[in-house]
Amino acid sequence: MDVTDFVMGISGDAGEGVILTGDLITQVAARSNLHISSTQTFPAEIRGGQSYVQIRLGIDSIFNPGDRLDVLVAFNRLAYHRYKPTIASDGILIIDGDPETIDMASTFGDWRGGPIYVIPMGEIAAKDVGVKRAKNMVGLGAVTALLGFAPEHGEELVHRFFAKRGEALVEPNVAGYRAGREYVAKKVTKRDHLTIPKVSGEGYLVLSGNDAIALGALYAGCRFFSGYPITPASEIMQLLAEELPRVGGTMYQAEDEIASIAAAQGASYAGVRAMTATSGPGLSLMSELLGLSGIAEIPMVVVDVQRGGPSTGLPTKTEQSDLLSAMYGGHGEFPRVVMAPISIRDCFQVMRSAFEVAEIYQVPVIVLSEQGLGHRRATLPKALLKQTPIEKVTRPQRSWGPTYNRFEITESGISPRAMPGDPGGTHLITGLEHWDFGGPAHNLENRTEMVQKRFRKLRNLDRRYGGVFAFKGEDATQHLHATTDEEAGRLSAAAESFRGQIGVIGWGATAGVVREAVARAEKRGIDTAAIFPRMIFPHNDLTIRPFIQGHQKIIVVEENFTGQYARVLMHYYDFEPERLNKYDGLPFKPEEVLRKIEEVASHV
Amino acid sequence: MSNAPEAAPTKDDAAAAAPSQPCGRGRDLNQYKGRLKPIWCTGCGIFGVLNALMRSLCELDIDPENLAVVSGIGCSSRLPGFVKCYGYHGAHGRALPTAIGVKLGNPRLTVIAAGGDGDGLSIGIGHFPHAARRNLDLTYILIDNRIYGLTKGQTSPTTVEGYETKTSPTGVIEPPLNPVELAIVYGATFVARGYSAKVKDLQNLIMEAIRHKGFSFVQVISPCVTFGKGSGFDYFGPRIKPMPEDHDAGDRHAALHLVSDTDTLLAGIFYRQDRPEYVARLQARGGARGRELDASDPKIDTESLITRFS
Ligand SMILES: Cc1ncc(C[n+]2csc(CCOP(=O)(O)OP(=O)(O)O)c2C)c(N)n1
Ligand code: SF4
Repeated sequence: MDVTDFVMGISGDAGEGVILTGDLITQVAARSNLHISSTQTFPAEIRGGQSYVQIRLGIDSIFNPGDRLDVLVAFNRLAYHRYKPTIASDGILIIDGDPETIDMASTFGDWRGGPIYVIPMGEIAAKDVGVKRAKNMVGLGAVTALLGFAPEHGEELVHRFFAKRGEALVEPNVAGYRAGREYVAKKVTKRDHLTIPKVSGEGYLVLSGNDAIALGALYAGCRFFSGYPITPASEIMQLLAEELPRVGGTMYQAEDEIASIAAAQGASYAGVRAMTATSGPGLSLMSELLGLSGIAEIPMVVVDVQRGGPSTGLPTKTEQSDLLSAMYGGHGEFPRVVMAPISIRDCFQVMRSAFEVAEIYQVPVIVLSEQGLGHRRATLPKALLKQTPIEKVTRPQRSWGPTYNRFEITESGISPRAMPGDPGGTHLITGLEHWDFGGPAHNLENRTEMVQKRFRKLRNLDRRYGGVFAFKGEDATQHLHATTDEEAGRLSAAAESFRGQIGVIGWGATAGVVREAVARAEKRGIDTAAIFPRMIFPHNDLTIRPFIQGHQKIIVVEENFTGQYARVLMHYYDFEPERLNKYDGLPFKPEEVLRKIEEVASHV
Repeated sequence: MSNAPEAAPTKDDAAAAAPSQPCGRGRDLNQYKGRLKPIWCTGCGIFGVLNALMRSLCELDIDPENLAVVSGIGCSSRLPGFVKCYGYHGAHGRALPTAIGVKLGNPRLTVIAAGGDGDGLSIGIGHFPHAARRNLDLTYILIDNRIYGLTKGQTSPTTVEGYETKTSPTGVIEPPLNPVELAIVYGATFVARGYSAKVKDLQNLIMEAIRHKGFSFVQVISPCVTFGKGSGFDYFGPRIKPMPEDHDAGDRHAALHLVSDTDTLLAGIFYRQDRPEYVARLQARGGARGRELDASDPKIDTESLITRFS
């Protein structure tokens, strides 16, 4: 029997190559035209502890890595004990061990799942291949063979991965992979129903949220990145360190986050689309200079891949606890925009909006991702990267007259921007309050006018950037980012028209899970809908107000303790939402959201 | 038209109003006057720095529109407003990383960073070694008055031991930093010291610094006449001495030896070195085209990205 949607967990010691095995399985699946969603947890310490990868595979697009395991791959006993409680009733176990000598009854007495396959991965690696460390490749071979994946994709991918690390590594690892497959072919009798379906197609891309943000920036015309390494955001700078120089751009590793944002502002001022990416601690350090972008009107994109806070917090875990600091952090008042991508695809797409808004409105734009999204992987159609990138990445020189004023007071609040090198455009920008020509000013009327001018930019922010993602019905159809005003109006109007029992509101990465919970609730007869604003700040009242009014109960789902977005909503509307909060560092599971929906539904 | 009531002159007015001061190759010093008039206290040393800088720019024939002057916060950091240029008066201590961003954003610009001793050696000192060792082609003018001027007279990292300030009422108890020594040790490839009362000498140093291909550092001793009691021009005048004629600026040890004498303040070029410049090295690897990128430049290789991620 072919299975159209199943979840696999892989666990082992941090040194056993679990993450790599998981990565390769996702790539094999993507080449086999299956969709995946995967997530990983690894110990915060560099060595020691258990690593874990969870991969959900299926025929249709998948929006979260699932909850119950249909397959558990354990590289050791400890891994088995840790993850056996999450197994589905007929789930299978693939575990390292000696099938000849193992005492099945005593070892797996507490197993609640289906068939167990004991495969001597370590022994095959040590004896047949002669390289102990190739154990994970033996595992990869065994698992892909058991599930019915064709052999060639895996072999090619193993080859490609190790070739980059050194030719000498290729041979033993490919041998390990083959040995694992061979062992299954010769010695294992399949006793389960899990076989992957045969699907035709050109295969999919596999991207993490961080990959998608980096590529999204590249396609959006970003040609300058500066940053300081920090978990879980570093992959963005690492990818751009490779890709930016290929297109004439620059990746600059600064000495700290203050230098990062300062350099990005300098480059942006000079006329290049510029960004930085960081996590909570870095955002805190950047807050003074965010205000400089606000008052001196320097376009700026800052990505915050949130992690558990405060202070050093939980560096390798996820949280949505920087919302208020993104919206209000820093001293003084200045216009800014906060966007939160809801999926890996949206990580790519949000960057185009972020750069457009930053450049047109000359404001700082903060993009809130999180560890659970940055390190999650998903399959996406190849068409995503076939779309035409923004090509005109810099503005040609322009001449300005002798009466040019950089901060001219205009109806839209947007002033003409000369850039260094432009004839006749010389001017001063400053973080002091200033006259329209840039000179420092203490004048009261000017101050009042300037503050209003800057905030007018938000009032005139194009509605198309304020689209929402809305989910309703058994398939929880999604509304994607609108590209025109009308489309945004239509999408928001659809969400506005939602009426029903339970309305779920969330932001960012929880969308994938909420979407599934909504679909499951609907199947159980609970009238449910959900919306996720893509642009959180400025607030999208036009869509959110009718949504709140149109539902008997609203649940605000957030990965934080204090309910930051719930508080924002309570500030705009006189109501008391139900809250579902989680702050243990792990993303929500669909079951958890579903339970809350059911609980609230039983009281209305 | 500007919204500034007290007739903020337009750029042309500013130049037209002043008597002509020919300089450089048929230029006029007034071409380098910014739209603002300096607000420094009468007699402040920074006037000398501004004067020397404008003359250097004029002599070197640098177009104001291809010039960026970046600063932090402080009396000295007000400088960009008084020079006709693309001026960037940013955040306290952040002149260097900002200037680096500007240079990378448009490598064709002449980029000058300027600021005080508090700005550059206290809050911003974390950026100094990195700017120096990277060796981007920009000039950093540290205007050293040994005090916090803008905030009205607190101890700075270059205030000397025993000196009384508002925050060290019984005298400073820690030794000061030595900016020239630091610059050499950090890897700056051009290191000089000037004095704001000797404008002509200072101009020569600044011109050399701007001509230098790499990170050039000029410490300018520049008295604060309002809060630097006892360390004004009278104090510095006799202590400033010309660089010994036989000093070999290519000799790092000799330079470090000379700068270790803190009683006499030698003015001149301490050290210079030829070392590959940062932006040029990035460009040799294909990057750092900055604003010169246009439609004819390298396109994203979408096919290779697709292969990489599948
Ligand atoms: C983050 C921050 N902290 C403190 C200040 C206040 N502040 C402004 S200028 C300055 C020091 C000025 O001294 P210096 O840099 O030596 O310049 P000077 O005024 O002497 O030229 C300080 C502490 C500030 N603007 N920003
Ligand atoms: S306070 Fe000192 S440094 Fe500042 S302008 Fe006056 S004299 Fe110059």
